[in-house]
Amino acid sequence: MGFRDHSDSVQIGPWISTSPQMAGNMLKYYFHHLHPAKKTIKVGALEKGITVECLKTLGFEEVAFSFRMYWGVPLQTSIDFFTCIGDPAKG
Amino acid sequence: MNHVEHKTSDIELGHELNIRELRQDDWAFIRSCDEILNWGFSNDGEQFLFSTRHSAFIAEIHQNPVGMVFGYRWGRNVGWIGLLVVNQEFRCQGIGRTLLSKQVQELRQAGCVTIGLDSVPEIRQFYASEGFVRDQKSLRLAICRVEGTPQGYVKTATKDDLPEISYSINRQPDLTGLSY
Repeated sequence: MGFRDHSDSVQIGPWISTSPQMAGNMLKYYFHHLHPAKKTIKVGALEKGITVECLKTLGFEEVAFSFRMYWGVPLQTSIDFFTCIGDPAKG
Repeated sequence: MNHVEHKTSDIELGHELNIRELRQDDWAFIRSCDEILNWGFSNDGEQFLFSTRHSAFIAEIHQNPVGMVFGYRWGRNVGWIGLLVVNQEFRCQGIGRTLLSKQVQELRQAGCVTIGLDSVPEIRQFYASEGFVRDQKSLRLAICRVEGTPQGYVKTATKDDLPEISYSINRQPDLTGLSY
């Protein structure tokens, strides 16, 4: 599910995969099955997370940033929900 | 969600500022904010924005909405704040600060020990002045269309997948409040 739906782009997240190959498959799935009319997919990632490198491997480029901030107990990680999963056993 | 409604006097302009919970008939105001900001959030759908895990407040002056803030609970003790918006003509008058304070209070009362948000660089100091600490940059990345069909197995998740998803995430055992 894209949860920021613009006319020609969609923002997706969260995105969890066990390999860059699976991430690539999920990306293609989004374009071809869920959002065939979209030209661009946007995604958020924390700068110190390993996800950034994976996304860049897939061809993503940085277009903007914000500051993640917290009140109270420090954040351990970002937590989101996702609606598209791949099967690690099948790649 | 408890029904909370309080009134605060805006000394600078003499307006009577009323902070109240979001109502279904605020949808037009939400959409108008979205059209100005082009954030695309109103496409999340009413079902999502009005889910039981959300707490949302509207700032109104003379019964006209001028600002809003959304909060969301992840699991049992993590809260998230977003969509803090005040109409441009009413900014710099303490309305955003009042909305933020109200949402923090709501999430704390709901048991949240961590409250997070993503701030655009321009107003990072505003959140810092309210006790929020910078964590790290949250990057926005984009990719143009990728050609090709998926190889392997990818499917659209259903509610039946939630237990496995929860297990995979591990740190987030309670996903039962999700909406599709």
